[in-house]
Amino acid sequence: MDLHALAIPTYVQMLKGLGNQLTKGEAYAVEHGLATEELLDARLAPDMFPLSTQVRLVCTQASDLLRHLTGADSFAPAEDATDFDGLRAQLTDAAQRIQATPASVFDGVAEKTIELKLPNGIVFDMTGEQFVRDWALPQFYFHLMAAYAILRHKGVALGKPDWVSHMFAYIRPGTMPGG
Amino acid sequence: MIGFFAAMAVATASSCPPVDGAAALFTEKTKYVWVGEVHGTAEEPALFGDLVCQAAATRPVVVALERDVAEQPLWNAYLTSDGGAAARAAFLQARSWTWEVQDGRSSLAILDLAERLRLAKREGAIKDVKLILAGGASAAAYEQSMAQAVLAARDADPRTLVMAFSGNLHAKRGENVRQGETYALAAKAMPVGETLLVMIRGGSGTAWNCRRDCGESPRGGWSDQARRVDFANPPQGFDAVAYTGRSSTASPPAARPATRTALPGG
Repeated sequence: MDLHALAIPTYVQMLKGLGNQLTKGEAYAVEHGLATEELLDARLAPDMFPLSTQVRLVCTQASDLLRHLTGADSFAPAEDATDFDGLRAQLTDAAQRIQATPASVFDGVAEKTIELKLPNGIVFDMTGEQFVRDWALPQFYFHLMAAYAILRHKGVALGKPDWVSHMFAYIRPGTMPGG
Repeated sequence: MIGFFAAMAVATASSCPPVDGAAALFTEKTKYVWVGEVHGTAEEPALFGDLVCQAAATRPVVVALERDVAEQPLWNAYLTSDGGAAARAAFLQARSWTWEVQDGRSSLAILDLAERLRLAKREGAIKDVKLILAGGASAAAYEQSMAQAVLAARDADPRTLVMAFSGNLHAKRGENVRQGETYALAAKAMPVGETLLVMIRGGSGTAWNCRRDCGESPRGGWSDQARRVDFANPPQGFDAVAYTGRSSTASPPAARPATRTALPGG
């Protein structure tokens, strides 16, 4: 499996998509007179992370993809951003670093042995392909969806077009309702 | 309708309670002051009216409102009318007063503002009122046409100040996203250095506008702030904040029954 062809575009487009969702969230806050913190500090449940942390963890997951597969240095943000510009900057930085990774760096990583150690002592042994399919992508989407759901829960008018906004590139001309 | 008649009683060019700090908005170098509100409160259009009144004491003023440009003749008729019952009834026939999406732009507070502007125009305190909602085939075109209308509202007199009033989002020097495409908000097209962008912040309370549906809903706010214009810590994309200094009160539709309605297709 060509993990570069699978993972790199996936991460880049979803990182950009979350950036756009945050822009809509910021617009909603302005339109309705909400303080920035009302969205950034919002969470789905008391024991879940707030929006600012979910965004940081999205970037952490992107960093961990390259770190585990290629040995790249971590670019995970050290702290939560405190405004929308800061959140988008984290996402933009992650997307640029992912996109800049040449395919050659991924040579042989699908078969590479990955040792994934969790803070609680659990160790997972798997191949690079298993790591991407069974760990990295689900973890990445977990935090992406949490961020989306927080924004949606707070009233931001998001929908599937915002979740998969990259799909607009594939629309056959003339088939868009009203377009 | 109590607010409407109250406004009629006090709204003259000589009765505008000054807003602390507002004078800095009206210096000669500024050609446009664009004020943004959260739609559907009583206090925010009233504060804009006070700012217009204060500006008109120092500069020739043209007011620009986020209303459909197609309804300019109806506004012109009302602004030059005696403001009596017949004139008001004709004015309220405009589609933007009666349409199904009552999002706060057709509120009693806006009707109060229209009456204040009528009186101000009659007394020569303001030069004119121009409508700036021209629409567009795309979100970007919608915003761009609004900016162009604000720019066009200014006449040849170099001292003229355009005081624009719209929802907060249009008044922000920034961007938004629609269908994955980033587009510029209206105020981003305004000349920097000649334009001041002001966000109104009201106290917590209620507002009548549209979120998942249209109606009265809670509105968060800044209840601990005194009424003033503050340049010290503007929100991103704005140059200043104008605090109402009061709790927010929902202002219901002026011409439709004040019932909650679902957004079309929502």
